[in-house]
Amino acid sequence: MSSGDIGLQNISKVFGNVCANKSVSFTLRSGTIHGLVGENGAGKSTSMKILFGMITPTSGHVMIDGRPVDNWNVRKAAATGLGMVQQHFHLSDVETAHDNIVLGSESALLGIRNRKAERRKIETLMRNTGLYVPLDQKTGALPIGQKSRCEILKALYSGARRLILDEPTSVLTPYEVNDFLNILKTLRSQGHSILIVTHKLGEIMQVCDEVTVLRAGSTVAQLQTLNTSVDEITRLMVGRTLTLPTKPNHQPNSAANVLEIYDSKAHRFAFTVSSGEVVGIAGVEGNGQDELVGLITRQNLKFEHQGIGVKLFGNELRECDTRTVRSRDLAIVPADRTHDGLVLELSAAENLLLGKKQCGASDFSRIPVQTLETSCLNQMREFDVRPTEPGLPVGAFSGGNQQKLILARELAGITRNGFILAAHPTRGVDLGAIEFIHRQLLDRAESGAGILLISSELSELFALCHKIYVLYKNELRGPFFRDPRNFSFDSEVIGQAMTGLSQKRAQVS
Amino acid sequence: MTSVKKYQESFFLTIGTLAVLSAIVLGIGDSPISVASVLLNSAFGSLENFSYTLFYSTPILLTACSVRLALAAGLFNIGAEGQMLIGALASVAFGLWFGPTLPVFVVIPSAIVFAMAAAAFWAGIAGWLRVRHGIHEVISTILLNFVALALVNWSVLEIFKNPENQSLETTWIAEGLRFGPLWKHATVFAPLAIGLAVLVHAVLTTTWFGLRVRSTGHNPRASELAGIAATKIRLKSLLIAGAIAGLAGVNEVFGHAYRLIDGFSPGYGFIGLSVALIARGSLPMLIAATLLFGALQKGALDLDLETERVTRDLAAVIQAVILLVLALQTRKKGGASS
Amino acid sequence: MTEFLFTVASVSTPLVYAALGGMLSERAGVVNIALEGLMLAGAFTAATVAWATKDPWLAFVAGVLASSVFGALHALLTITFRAHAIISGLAVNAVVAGLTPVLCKTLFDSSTSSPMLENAQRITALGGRVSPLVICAPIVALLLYVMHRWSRFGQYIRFAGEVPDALDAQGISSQKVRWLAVCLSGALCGVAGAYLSIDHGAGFTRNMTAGRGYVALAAVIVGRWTPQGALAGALIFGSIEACQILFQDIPLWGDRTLPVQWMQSLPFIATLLVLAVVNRRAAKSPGGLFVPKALSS
Repeated sequence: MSSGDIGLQNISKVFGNVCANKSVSFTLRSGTIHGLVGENGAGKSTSMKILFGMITPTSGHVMIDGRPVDNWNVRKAAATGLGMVQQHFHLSDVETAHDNIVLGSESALLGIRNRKAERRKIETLMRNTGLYVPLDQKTGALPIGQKSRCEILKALYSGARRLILDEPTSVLTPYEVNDFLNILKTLRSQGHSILIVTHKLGEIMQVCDEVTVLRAGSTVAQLQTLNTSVDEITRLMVGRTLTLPTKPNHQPNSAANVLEIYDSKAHRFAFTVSSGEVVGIAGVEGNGQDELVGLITRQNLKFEHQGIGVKLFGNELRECDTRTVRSRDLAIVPADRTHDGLVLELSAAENLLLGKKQCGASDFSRIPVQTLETSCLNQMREFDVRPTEPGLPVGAFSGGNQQKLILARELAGITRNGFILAAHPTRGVDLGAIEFIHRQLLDRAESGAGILLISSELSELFALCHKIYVLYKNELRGPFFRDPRNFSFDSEVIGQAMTGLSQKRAQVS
Repeated sequence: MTSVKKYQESFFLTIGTLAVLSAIVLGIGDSPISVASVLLNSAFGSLENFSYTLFYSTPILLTACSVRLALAAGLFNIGAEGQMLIGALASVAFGLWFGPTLPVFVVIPSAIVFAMAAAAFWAGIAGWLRVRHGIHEVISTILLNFVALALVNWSVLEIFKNPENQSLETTWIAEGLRFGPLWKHATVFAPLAIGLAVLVHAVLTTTWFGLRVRSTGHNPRASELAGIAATKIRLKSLLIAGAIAGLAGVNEVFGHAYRLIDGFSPGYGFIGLSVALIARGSLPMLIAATLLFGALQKGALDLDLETERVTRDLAAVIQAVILLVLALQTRKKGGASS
Repeated sequence: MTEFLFTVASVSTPLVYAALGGMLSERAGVVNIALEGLMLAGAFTAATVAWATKDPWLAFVAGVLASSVFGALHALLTITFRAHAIISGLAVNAVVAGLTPVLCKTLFDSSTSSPMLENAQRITALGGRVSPLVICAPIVALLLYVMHRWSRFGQYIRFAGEVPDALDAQGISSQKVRWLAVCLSGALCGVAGAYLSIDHGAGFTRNMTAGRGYVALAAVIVGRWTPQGALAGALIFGSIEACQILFQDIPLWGDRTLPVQWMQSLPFIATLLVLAVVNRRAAKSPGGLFVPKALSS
């Protein structure tokens, strides 16, 4: 390591019983773009926060300019020009972009701010980097891609020359990703150093000079991107070869409609899911996914007010509330498992009981604890939920195991030909669990279930779906089918649809 | 936190509480030892004293159950005091209106039901305000407490006033309606309260309704999506909680004073709140804390008489300090950021 | 009419100060239902020091300091120890409500009131009519408005209540910002309390705040957590209470007047009604129901 470089050396971090980092080392060389990759749970997030000074390591050193530093904290990190953009934005939705960007670096005389001076500084910055946002709008009203830009502008405004970006492209459409990567290259040419933490290996190969691979809390490799490949990195990340499904092996039964979405006003927002069919909805967060899910679960009726309706097994859902819908033959895997899917304070067994069938029982009857604990154990074993302790509060399980628990609960409550609504089912989940969840979904589809899969991970959709629609600004585009010759989807066309291009094409088909 | 650490913490907190209280007593000019001995003797020194303690514990246990149930559903029922007052008012009203004309075995159960319904209604107002208008039940129940106080004050003075004397109380209810004391000074409602506490605990921990309530209390969004009618459950819990608090009022009118005395409550509703917060889901702790605060109430009376400078208000201070220390115990575990 | 306006001014003043204090604390993300206790602490301390030193302004400062100390207690519990804010608020209220009669009895041998203060010991009104504290109330509101919109600290407070992590990530301690906000809210409540006991009134009486702290909190909510809103809310509720005072004896039918208890509960019922109406309207407006994010539970 030389002057201008920063990094970590043999960092370990233990939280209570959990060892988040065992031995992490990497170097962000001055003026380069460095990728930090690893599965969910590999320790990327923790090492990032240690580098930024938010967490103190249990052992090991933060290295600045080639020398170890003591008592590293956020203040010192900011002073050396370090800035971090986290995955979950630290933006106040009710404040303007201007106020959000200048937070912490306001121009002030005797405590009173000089908004004009701030504005001039921001505009210069926007010109230099090519990152533009509407400064007087409240950030809550901005689309997600622009929120991400606000965060980066904020870091740059406070003088950061070294940026740490946590999953920066997870909320961007394929076209926005390209623009974004170009901006990173511009910043690099202006002398910035950038550390990107991500699981999108294709982007790593496009823009990074070097890459560090983490697995189970330790660094397993530090490579030059020119000398490696996506396959090699994947192998290093997981430690074994994965057999993720690449396509469904069966054909849907188009005669039996499980779900039907229809548009009574404009006749544009409509599709069906048949028995055995996996229908995908692609699109970046914030383009109508929540409203679509809400339409089916009856919690968000925005689409319904616009004339869009839904029929489940031929039955109109217009008059139903959430409770009634849940008594039907459907399984719901919500996008936000900790807020919508599970009650973290209750035990695994109790969470499994939240399923509809049992809860329909009479109010004050006793819960047959013994029989239900046994069935809970069985379910946990069947879905590989670890640790297999029904009495453990769900908050203590890892993300992947929580998701599998939800799946266990939901799939137990439907018949062979039931309907499954899965929204971002593998978000924040480790590869092993992803493998498991994908297999479960495909198995169910093969048995006759109809699945509506909403996801922003194109690789997931391409692997599981029979047909794919794209949601863009609350409008439906598609359907897109597999090319009959090679059974794969046209990612170019779908990427365009996600960005709003090729409007006419989508309408005609 | 491990169990050992928890007990250590409770131990130190208890010592700390006693230290602070002793300091206050010394500041007033009395000896903490003598104050403590007066309190202990007054509460537990004799069978008669203990029955007094039980007497005070009864309404406390009832309001604590009320708060506990609401708390499980995620609601702060600070209005237990007002609901108790409404229950008392309703029971005395029913007793005075129908006592002379209807047979006793009709009046008593009807009065109890009427009182519980009235108290539930009072709680329901806050519930409706929360559901329809988004007003947090903390502020609405506190405001409703003030209204209930005024309502009771007015009813006692203007409607049911006892013409025989100048006290702020209503006329006495008929002889036949009065529940004699069960054991010395403890009322009939004492075992009823204990039974109710056990029942509420059992319902919360072993029945489907209890699971739904707890689920809603922890995470209403996930509960909704899982098919639980969160709003309905919350309302139901609040109504039942109101009814239970109303029983505390019935206990005062039918089981003790046989009339409604304006200002009879030294704040049972708030004491019950503190007890429910201390107990935090454990039935033995609920009973223990109730006895503790009941003992304090009894002891407070004798403080006036048997010490030089300390008055019964000290009981309020003791309760407040305990509540303060309690607030400390609700702290969340540390993490990297807030 | 002028009588009415004067009454509104004098009745609203404690509400304005307390509401501004509540607004500061809550906007920074700390739920504060202890306004009642904080006011009471200020009232008691001011009355006691006024009687002891015969200097009203010294008493004023003492009252403000005492409230700030209790405010700091609330801050200590909720911010440093991260206890549940509602329970902490209730606890602070309980401690003050319990301690004041005990101290009163110890010092003055009466647990219901402190000795009445002579005029020399109270804050004198300018021109014999309007107290300086009343005049300062809208000025303080204006100052807070300027601070809220135009100052750096105002920016910190707004962000502390929405995304405290953002402040910490920039190296600014959101905890310190909140501490300051809560202590300031204590100080403002101290002004309100001192006004009650040594300006408007002539001494301390048991539980003299009589629920004003909760009405002030309602004013904060009605005002959607802004300084100008808190001022407006406090004035609304102050006007209602002024109506109650002035029209207490107006005969309604024949000779009978509205029962005094009904009039007493009028402010509380009115508070609930206003809250309900405002909440409904806000829910329909495009901004939606603004509640500082750190408060929504």
